[in-house]
Amino acid sequence: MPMTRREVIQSGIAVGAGVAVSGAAIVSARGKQDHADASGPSTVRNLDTLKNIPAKPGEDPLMRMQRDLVKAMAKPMEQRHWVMVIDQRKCVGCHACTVSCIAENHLPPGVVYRPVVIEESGSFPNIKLEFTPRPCMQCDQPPCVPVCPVSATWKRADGIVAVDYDACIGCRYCLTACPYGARTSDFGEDYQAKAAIGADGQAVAGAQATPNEGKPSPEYGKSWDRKGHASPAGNARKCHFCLHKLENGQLPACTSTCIGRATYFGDSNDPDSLVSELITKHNVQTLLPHKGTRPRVYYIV
Amino acid sequence: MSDSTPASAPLARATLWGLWAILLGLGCIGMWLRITQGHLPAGYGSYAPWGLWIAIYFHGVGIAGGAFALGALGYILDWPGFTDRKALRTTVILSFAAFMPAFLGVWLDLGHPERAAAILLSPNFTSMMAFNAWMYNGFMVVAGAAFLLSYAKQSSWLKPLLCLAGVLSLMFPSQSGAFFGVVDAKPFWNSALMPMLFLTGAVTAGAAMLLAVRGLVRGGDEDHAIARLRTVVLAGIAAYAVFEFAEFSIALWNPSVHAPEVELIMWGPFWWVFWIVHLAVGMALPALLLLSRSRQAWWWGALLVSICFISSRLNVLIPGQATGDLLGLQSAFQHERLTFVYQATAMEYLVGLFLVALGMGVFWIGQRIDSLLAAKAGTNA
Amino acid sequence: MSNDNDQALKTRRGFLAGGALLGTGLFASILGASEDRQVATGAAILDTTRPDSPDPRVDGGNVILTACLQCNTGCGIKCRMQDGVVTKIDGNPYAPWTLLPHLPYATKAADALPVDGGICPKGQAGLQSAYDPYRIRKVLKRAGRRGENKWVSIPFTQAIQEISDGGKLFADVPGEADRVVQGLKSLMTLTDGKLAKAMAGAVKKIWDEKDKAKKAALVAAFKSEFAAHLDKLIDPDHPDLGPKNNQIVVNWGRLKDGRGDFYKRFAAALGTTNAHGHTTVCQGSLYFTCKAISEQYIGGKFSDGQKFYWQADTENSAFILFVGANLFEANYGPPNRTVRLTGNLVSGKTRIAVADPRFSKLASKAWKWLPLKPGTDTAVAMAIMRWMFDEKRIDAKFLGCANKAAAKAAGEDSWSNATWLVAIKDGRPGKLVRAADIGLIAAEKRKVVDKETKEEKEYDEKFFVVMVGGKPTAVDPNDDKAAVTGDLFVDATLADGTKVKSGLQILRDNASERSVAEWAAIADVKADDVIAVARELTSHGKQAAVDIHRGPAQHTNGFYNVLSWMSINMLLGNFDAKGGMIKATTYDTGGKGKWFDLKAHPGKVASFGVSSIRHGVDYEKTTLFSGYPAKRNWYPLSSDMYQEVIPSIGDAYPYPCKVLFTYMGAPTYALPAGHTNIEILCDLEKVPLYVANDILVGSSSMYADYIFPDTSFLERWEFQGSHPSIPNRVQPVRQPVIPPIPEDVTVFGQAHPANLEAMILGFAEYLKLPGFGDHGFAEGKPLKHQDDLMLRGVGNLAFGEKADGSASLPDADEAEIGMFLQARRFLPKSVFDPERWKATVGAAMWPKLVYLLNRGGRFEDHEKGHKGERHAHPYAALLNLYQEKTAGTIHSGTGKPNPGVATWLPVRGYDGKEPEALRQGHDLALVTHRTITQTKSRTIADPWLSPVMPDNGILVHPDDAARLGLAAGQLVKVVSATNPGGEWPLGAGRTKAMVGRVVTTQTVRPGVISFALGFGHWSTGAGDLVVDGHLIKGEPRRQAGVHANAAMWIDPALKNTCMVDPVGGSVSFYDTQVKLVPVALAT
Ligand SMILES: Nc1nc2c(c(=O)[nH]1)N[C@H]1C(S)=C(S)[C@@H](COP(=O)(O)OP(=O)(O)OC[C@H]3O[C@@H](n4cnc5c(=O)[nH]c(N)nc54)[C@H](O)[C@@H]3O)O[C@H]1N2
Ligand SMILES: Nc1nc2c(c(=O)[nH]1)N[C@H]1C(S)=C(S)[C@@H](COP(=O)(O)OP(=O)(O)OC[C@H]3O[C@@H](n4cnc5c(=O)[nH]c(N)nc54)[C@H](O)[C@@H]3O)O[C@H]1N2
Ligand code: SF4
Ligand code: SF4
Ligand code: SF4
Ligand code: SF4
Ligand code: SF4
Ligand SMILES: [Mo]
Repeated sequence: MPMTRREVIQSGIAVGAGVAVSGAAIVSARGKQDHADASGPSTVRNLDTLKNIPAKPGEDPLMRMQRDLVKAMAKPMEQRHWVMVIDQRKCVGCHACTVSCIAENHLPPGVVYRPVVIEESGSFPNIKLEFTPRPCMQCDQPPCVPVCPVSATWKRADGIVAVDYDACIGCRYCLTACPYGARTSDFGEDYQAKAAIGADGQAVAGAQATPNEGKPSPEYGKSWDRKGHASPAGNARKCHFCLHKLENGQLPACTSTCIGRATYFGDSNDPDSLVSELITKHNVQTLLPHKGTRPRVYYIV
Repeated sequence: MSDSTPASAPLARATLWGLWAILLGLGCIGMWLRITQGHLPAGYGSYAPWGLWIAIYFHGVGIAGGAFALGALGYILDWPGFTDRKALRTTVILSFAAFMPAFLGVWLDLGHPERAAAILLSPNFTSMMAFNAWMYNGFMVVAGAAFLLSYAKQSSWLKPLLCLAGVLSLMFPSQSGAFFGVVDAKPFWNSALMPMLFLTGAVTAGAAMLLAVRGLVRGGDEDHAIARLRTVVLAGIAAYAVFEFAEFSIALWNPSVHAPEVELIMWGPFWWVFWIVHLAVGMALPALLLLSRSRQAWWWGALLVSICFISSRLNVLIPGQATGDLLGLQSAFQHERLTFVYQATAMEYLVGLFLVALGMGVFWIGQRIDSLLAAKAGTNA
Repeated sequence: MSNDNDQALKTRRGFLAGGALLGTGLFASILGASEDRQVATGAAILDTTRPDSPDPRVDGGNVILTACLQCNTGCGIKCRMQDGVVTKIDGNPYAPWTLLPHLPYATKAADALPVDGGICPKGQAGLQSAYDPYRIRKVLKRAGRRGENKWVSIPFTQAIQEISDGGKLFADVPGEADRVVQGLKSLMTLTDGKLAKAMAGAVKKIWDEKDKAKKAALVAAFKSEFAAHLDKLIDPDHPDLGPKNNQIVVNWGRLKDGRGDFYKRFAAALGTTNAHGHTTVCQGSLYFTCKAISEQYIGGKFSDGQKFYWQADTENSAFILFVGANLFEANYGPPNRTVRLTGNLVSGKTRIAVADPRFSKLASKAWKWLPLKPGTDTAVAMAIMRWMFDEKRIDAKFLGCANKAAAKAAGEDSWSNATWLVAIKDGRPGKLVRAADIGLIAAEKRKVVDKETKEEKEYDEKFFVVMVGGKPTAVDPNDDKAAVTGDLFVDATLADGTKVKSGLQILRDNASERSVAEWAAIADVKADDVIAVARELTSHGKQAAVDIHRGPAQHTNGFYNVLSWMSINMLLGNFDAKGGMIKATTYDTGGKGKWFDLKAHPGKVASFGVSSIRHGVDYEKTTLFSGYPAKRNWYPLSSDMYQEVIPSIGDAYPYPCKVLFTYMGAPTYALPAGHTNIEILCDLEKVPLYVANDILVGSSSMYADYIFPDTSFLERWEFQGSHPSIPNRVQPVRQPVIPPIPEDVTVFGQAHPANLEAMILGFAEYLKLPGFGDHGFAEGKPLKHQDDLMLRGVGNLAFGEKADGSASLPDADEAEIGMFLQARRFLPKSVFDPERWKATVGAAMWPKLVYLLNRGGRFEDHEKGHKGERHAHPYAALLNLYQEKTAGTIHSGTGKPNPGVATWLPVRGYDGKEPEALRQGHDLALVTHRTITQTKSRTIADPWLSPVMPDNGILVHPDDAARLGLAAGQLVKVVSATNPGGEWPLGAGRTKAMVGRVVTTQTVRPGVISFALGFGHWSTGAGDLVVDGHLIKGEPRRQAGVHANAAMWIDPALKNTCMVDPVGGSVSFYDTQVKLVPVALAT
């Protein structure tokens, strides 16, 4: 039986409505405001960090950056823009940043925020070794953000791309979207689960012998206890510029431990900050610029 | 239309039940592993985040969409063999039976399955995943309504609803392609051909599955539907081959673009998936079978297509993840989940079997429910 | 929560052997109330209802500053705790290691809390070494064959009693039912101080007697004089072997002050002379060559050489040539040296060159790389010196200064003996010419205080001679009034016919033996490169330096490699100059003459006799002298020959040993050809009793009869000391941070964590050893607890360097004391008891102690490290470019005298021959290097470090790989002439093949292969253990990679130890040649 006229009209209505609803959903999502972060005066931090340690010429760049940081924290969140500058001429490929980050953020096996890629080129005796630490680029156009089906990850006004572990469903779409491999998923492993295995071949809760693994992670200023596959187990995890440390007037863990002082951190909105100085003075580069992600991590080569 | 079943029915039935029991049994082991040990026994990781289950998911969703689109189109356009409501419902049931394992597969893949509802409750429509989820959930609601309406003696909304559902059923398989296509980070995925490839795959596999199912359940020699589906499957295979060739040719004849993934597909460790599962058993052999005159052969050909077309999903999914812009990452920080190489583990395969068993189960139950409801509504038409 | 943990406790204990291993005894002790401060910052970041993180990082109540020991750099660290569990370690900003410049010492503790310094990845992972599940908690006693790794846990007191009393201790072990073990008591034969002193004096006389017959007579006289006590001696016919006490050998690996004071006091109290460290496995020849360079002329003799070395003032140099020094991965250490360099490299203030057969990370930042052939350091140094001499680019002004006064006048702090005249006999430079001997000046009667007897003695001062304008002139080296400036190059014959040359002349002659091109050819480096480096070195005045480390030192020619490179520094005149060579300076913990004399040891019995590793005495002087070659080498100039400790026991030369103690060392793993030690340790005849102190069952302690548990670096006290590249006077203090993992035991009636100190105190109490107990230090000054020594050491630091106390620290204020107490709230009373601590140091010292401990040690402010262009803590003494003392020693393998000046020597065995036979068919030179993530057998416990480098592999140049048909990733076995099987014999019938993955890389010189240290473990949590009948599996992760030390050559003449530097004492790490044999996958 061919469709009646009425059926044809009804079909048109049904299909039209369907298309309209989806179109509206996309349009509204595209135009959606940033995640509802706190902003304004409530985000101003008047920290007394370093107040009693007078600045001196020739002080360690770590001190200078920490002073810059305290200054930036005294502004509302939306007025600071965090960036990192990595001077590859000074990086010695020591991986201190990698491990410091693991310790700071209680990262389990398979989760890494800042690996250091080492590349060898040339041939004997003309050889080159290049060290490329790779934190999250905190892209200004982060491809990892729009793919998240539940808006669990977003770009904050201060430039940091954050993940809310309580919202993230662990679909790993964002992992595929990041061209830098900067996101890794926490599959719930523990570092020492396999150590000191007992007679019957069963793990004897090796992790328990390493009490540090049982302590909650302080990421995002919240207490995250992964026991029993609770978040952040099961989540996508990534570098967040150690937001929780910034709130305390401290530099990111990778920055403060950098033995080559190759990692710089600060507020690019402050023209007097060390990072601003470096970015303008040097011919800085970004990783994979052709991806159009507009990274906020710069490299001096 | 005939209700007669082939002479071998009792044997086929027994075989099917036996097969189902085996699949279920093995599948349960996989499910037990997944439930007790979480993701630890799985082979996917962070640089290759998705594996077999996601391939099954896309395959299932494809079958669901493709089969439905054909069934609905046939019903609306009065194709011979598609006009009766029972046939329509079989299509819907098949669609659901393909959906359920697909959903379960992706659900099991989530790091936090308990939060899955968030995709529907607080979706972010810039994500193809959320959009896609809404699409087929919408589809299910509409198709479900149509399914129920089909028991009514008369309803002017049945066909309009089928129209809407039909549109949706064509959209989400192509969106599945877009799902990958939008990922700029993975050059192999980032291609405009992806939606077409996925849609073609979906229609082909859907048609094949419908053929296999209808050939099994109804088995009517004169069933025009089968003839039509046979044509669709053959055309689908041909179209898929054309699209795939288009995709590969760009890669093969251009020395820089996409080449590593294509090389990997054709000459990598899983060369056999492409050459044997996908090309030989999934396309060439079925084409030959479908071109033959034997209906039995058509059935086998369709079955092969509906199973082996998962390799077309795998062949997009896995190689797409096998390369990255910063391959040095693998040696910078070494862990089995931080490699661009993915290999499904036993647990994943076992869960895969469970998913197949689940699909079969859903289909069987669907048929039972249909019989009951049809009896209650006093109609078979 | 507590239920959960109880459950965990039980399960774990079941498996982990009744709590003998770490298991959860740990939990019981650290589960405490959570009282972390809440900082309301969370909401500003994430707007959720999830609880804010209790962020302890800026809360002083959760922070303790201490010193790392993940490697020996000892960086200051800041331990941050969550509920008493250390979860994050950062750099201590007060310590010059981690911040440049470091925070002023007066900075309030609270103000320093948010400031973190930089530390390396191992330091970051240090908490995992402490919380390692394989840690032992109780004494383990061997329950199977040695090396079988079967143990029972026994009470601490039982172990003390058994080891002290001896007996059939292993009656339960198959085959040992009737074996009687001699205990400590039966070996402590000589306990009478007077008698010991008398005997020691008599032995000294025997040694000082040169005439053979008279020597024999003295021995006979000895026997009759001490006839009643001959049973106390090892061998009455050789009284100079000393008492039986010497058959107790006390050995250590990594030992720092504080603990060192404890351990050495223990050895002294046992009356043994055999207390030996590990220096020679490390960089012995660097230390002992610098010791020889630093010998001072005192009382007519050369003595008081310091066991130390110099490094470049990294922060201030304009040019540094780094030789075999691995700054960015190892050295002392990555944090403090890297930060002093990278900024200057980028700004252009500093330029560096690297001489290393391997293209290290350091080389990647270098302006020039000299990829020399291993073992040819002297050749490169000679090439540079030849060029310097030829081009006259030496610091003539400095070199001319022949004494202190001249140095002063020239604005120098130190002076050299470059101009002093050396007598040339039969063409060989020998003794320095004495002015009085050639009649230039009359000998002068002078007085000197004998160091041992403290008595004033008279001696004849004969003075040295330099040429001044061609005229022989007497010189008093230590005279700070009359400056003498000598002619640099002298080759003359004195009036009495003595042929003489100045030391500098001799050096120049040596350097001129070959042309620059010929020297460069020996090392296979480009002559142009060498010249370019030499030009740079000589273009920055005193701001240029040669900075060397293990690469040149650990060879059979190590002494002369080091001397050659150091001679360049002398030619540069860069000692004590800002940007030049610098030495370490520490605050004194000993406190003698100041606050508390930590070394006071009442009732100590003087030990005497030939040391078991034959150091500090000339072979020729002893009664064992029987011509050349001696059975094993003698070391008059060096000490702490690690490679001799166990192999000498194996040869029972100079005498058999009865009890061996080891602490924090793994000679089996660490030594080249360390496997020879395993065989000896497994031999019950050769080593009847072996007692180890360890934090886990280690790669050497697994062969012990008893293993005493120890507190890790986060649980104990130590005074870390400094390193040469740090200009400031410093003393980092290692202090307890976390509750001890080992159980508590009772010593002297007090609870004490079962650790090294407890072990020593336990023996002291049981054996009533002098120097311990109620009056351990002095009347009323007890030594019954680790606090008694450690807290007083800290007190000494707080008191400062001035005897009147004017340099003592300020008192901590109330807030600081509160923070101090709060941070230690999780520590048990056995470790921390404020009342006990206060009582030990006194109420006046207590707040100063807190002040110091809140800063993790005592650190001078940065700007005080230099005074203008000079170091504030200069060496300021004589530098021996020519070494009379060295020239007076004889190689006991060949009977030939050792050269006293930088000299090119090829690689040689103990027999003095080049090892050509060993090289046959093995054409790859094997070297080894460190990687930043691993420290020998310590850091493999840390899983955080593994992902960065899960295993090491064998670095092979692609050309070699191609030539040998090896593919990257392929497994190969390392095989040498002395280990043709290419495997480690692990004892008890087990072996481990030296198989590694081929890593092809351009970063090694063709013909050279290398492997990183720290992998290929068989113990340290890598091997299976049975404890109290429970099998505890090793972790496969820890077995990964290859440790090829067993392929390193065994000396063909010595047979049970590696090749050695006969002068500097070093072991040879970089002289072996090997081949790589492909192996099938199954290994
Ligand atoms: N990561 C880490 N750091 C450590 C330690 C550790 O175990 N791990 N240990 C600490 C200790 S105890 C020490 S002693 C120091 C050691 O610190 P370094 O001595 O600086 O470190 P190594 O890696 O042993 O450096 C030896 C270097 O010598 C090179 N070499 C080999 N043969 C020759 C040769 O014939 N001539 C020359 N010129 N060079 C040669 C090697 O390639 C290597 O680069 O490191 C300390 N720091
Ligand atoms: N291939 C190769 N071998 C080398 C080197 C090299 O460059 N390459 N370098 C050499 C150098 S420089 C050195 S210094 C030596 C070091 O040689 P050693 O001094 O022998 O080695 P360590 O690693 O310090 O010894 C650590 C052992 O002490 C135990 N231990 C660890 N922590 C503690 C503790 O807190 N308390 C107690 N009581 N015991 C503990 C563990 O059993 C561990 O096995 O190695 C040398 N070996
Ligand atoms: S680097 Fe990757 S994870 Fe980070 S913001 Fe950019 S796309 Fe996202
Ligand atoms: S893994 Fe989490 S953050 Fe990433 S896309 Fe999925 S839900 Fe979003
Ligand atoms: S900023 Fe923090 S989170 Fe990011 S890499 Fe550094 S330490 Fe890790
Ligand atoms: S800590 Fe600094 S020097 Fe070390 S690898 Fe990281 S960025 Fe480079
Ligand atoms: S260099 Fe050594 S002492 Fe310093 S942090 Fe690293 S491991 Fe610790
Ligand atoms: Mo060392």
